[in-house]
Amino acid sequence: MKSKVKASQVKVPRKSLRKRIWRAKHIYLMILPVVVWFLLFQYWPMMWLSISFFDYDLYRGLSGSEFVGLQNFIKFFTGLDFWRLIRNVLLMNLYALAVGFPIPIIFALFLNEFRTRKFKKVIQTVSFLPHFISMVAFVTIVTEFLSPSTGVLADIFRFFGKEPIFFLGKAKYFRTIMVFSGVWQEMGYSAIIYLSALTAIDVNLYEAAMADGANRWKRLIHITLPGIMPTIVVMFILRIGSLINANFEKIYLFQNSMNLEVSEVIQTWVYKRGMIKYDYSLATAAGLFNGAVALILVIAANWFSKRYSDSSGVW
Amino acid sequence: MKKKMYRKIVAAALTAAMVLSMAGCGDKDDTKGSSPAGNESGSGQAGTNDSAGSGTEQGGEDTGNHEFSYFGAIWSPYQESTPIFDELMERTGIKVNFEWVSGDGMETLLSSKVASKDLPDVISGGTGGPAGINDLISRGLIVPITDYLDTELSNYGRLLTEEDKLFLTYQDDGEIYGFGLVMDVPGSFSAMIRTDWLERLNLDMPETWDDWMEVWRAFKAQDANGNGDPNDEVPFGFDYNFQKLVLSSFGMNSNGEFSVVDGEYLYDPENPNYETYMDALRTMYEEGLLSQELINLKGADFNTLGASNRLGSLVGYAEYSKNYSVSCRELDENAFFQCVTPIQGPDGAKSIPARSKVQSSTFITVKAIENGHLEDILKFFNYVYSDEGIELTNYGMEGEWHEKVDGKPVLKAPYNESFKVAREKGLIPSTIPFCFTDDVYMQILTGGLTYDELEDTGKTFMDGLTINSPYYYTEPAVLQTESYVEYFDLREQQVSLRDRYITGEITKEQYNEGYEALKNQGLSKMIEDAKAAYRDITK
Repeated sequence: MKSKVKASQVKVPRKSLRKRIWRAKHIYLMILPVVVWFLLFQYWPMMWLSISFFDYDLYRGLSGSEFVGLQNFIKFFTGLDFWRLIRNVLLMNLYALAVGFPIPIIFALFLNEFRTRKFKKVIQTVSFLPHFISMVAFVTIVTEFLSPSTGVLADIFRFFGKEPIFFLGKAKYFRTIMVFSGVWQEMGYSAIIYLSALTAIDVNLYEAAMADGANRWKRLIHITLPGIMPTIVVMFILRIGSLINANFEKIYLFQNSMNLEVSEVIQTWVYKRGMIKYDYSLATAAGLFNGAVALILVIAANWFSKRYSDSSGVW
Repeated sequence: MKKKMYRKIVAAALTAAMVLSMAGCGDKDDTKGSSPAGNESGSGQAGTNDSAGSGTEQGGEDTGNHEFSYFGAIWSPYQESTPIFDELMERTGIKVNFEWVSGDGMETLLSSKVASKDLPDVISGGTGGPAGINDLISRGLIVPITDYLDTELSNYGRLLTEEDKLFLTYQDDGEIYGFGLVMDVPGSFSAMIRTDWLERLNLDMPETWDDWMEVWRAFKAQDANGNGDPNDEVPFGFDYNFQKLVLSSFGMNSNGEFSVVDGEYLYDPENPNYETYMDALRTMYEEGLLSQELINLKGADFNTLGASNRLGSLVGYAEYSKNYSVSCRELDENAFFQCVTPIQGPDGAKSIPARSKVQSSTFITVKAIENGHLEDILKFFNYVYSDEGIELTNYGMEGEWHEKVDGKPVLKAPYNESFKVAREKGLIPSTIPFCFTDDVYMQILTGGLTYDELEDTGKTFMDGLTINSPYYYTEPAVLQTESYVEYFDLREQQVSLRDRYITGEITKEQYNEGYEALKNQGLSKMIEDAKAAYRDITK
């Protein structure tokens, strides 16, 4: 029976495809809502990127708006803000990449080495929790923690006879606050994917290495890390793709007049231009630029990973 | 076979779950309206709302077809629905479909309404114009009311002087678009100081700038609040959003951004006194005479500081003297903030802004014309500003809310106990445009008592409203020119430079360099446009 089906597949591939789809109809049915969601909420809105080429009139719509070509892009690129926005978002994300990317990997490896299962679970759960705190509450907690008048950190400073520092009022600390608060919030959650990759490593490799006298460190370097390397590369590519993106909500909530110079990024600028100033065209032009650069970065990172590592990349 | 069936059921259940979750996501996105796709779906939405409106019309037999939608800001202690609103609707025969939004949600929700063409008939920012309203005006989405001030909205027009009209005028076309609270009570702000701290440290009431600096330094150096910690005092404070209260001590009779100097409308950073102001605050910050978290002291955070028994003096609403004294007495029974005349600046300037009589907070959209609701809107608000409407919004209904004494309405308890209680009950509803009379202001302020019957905290509050009379100035209107709106981000960056200079983060050279860069980017144009606009309207 099976061989008959195979034969028909070779002869009439079209019919075969239909049949195969029909056979897996339940799987397709399951994926359908996601496809529809993507089409409706991710791809359909992309059509509206065209408003960046118009002086978009909110009320009259696209048909009632004047076509201005690349004027909005020129305005964005030549504005005082452009290089400041690019510098801020890149510096912040490179800092986050350098610090925030390896920490979940190290944390996952650390958890993996735990012998006591219960203790491991407790640590894991505690590290996950900050991820589930709403951003507003999260920012409030951090703000309170750092407050020079009522914060815990200020008490520690005073205990050691030091004058408390208003960290959120000093631009030079802004990126560090963003990065390390991000590490606290996401370290546990980001480690999940590495933990699952770790479980996929063949146990026999460890047993063989142990038999050969490899210590923990050697096993980590020669088995564990290579075992999760494809996952690390994929995550790295995805992270590179978001180098020009920023956590808008968090940055906007932490933003104040003292750190504006370093905290203004494309996303906050787009929000102010679009949602407060109603300049949707210019905001969309900036957003489109942001998306295009992110796409180029992802393609470049994927190409580099395939060219210079054993990884097969994301695609 | 059973296994197959089981798989089918599981697949169907999972699909259903995903569809449901997707529906949830869809709703969320739609509500936010942040996606440009909302524009398309929004058209349909507008239609749905319209038909929902018709349904209400049919249901409202007593009000006929007279209604309009009102999208407004609300904040504590105001209520979404009050007997006063019901009575206003009853008397005018016009149903108002209120949609309230609190906090920062106003600008996001309004912009999504605009983008989805779901404009309400009336938009109100409460005490000020909603963010982005000037863009809506420049795009022709707001109806000018200038011509109605002598006709359909004449009850409002009669309350305005020529100066008030000037204050409300939109510079680009000379039209008046907004209306709002009318309150002819100039007293509002005052300086105040902890006299119990002065006594504790054996200090005299400061008069000159040098006196004030001496007092602030003493507050900082010694344990002025007597709690055993000599380092927790904040000698002087002000709400970050009320910079004008400090600028005035430096000879800038400002609205926070602009002041009129020798008949010229001047951007404050261009004022020669601005440098003295920044230098003085920088010195104070450096010496710890201002809170380290100066930039965070806004609204509730400032109130928390005021009530914490750590603040020695301030400039702000005169009622803070009463509120903070009462709160601080829970920690120190002698706590007393006494209202004093304005702080005299280093160059001898001594003034304080009077409360603006008129506000431009409420706007009629073109949707009102499309919906045929303009006439109803004008009729409704014309009634609110009529003598009957003023009595209703200020004193409520006769009998339960007030009684007439010698023909004058006198509020009954508990409506006269405090502004908070009065507002909770629905009186003086600042969430809609109305006229707040000085009589009801004083009735609530004194709670029906005479000055002598008031407690010390009440007395100093009242003093704060009277002792400053010789020093009041009328703050100039913010002239919303096109470049003022366009370069909002440059103004924001100037504030950032100012704050970084005051807190010692940058040098004066860096400030000047940054400011010049901003001027080259467009700030100069905004400054010149503002001057030209002022010249035009004062001709």
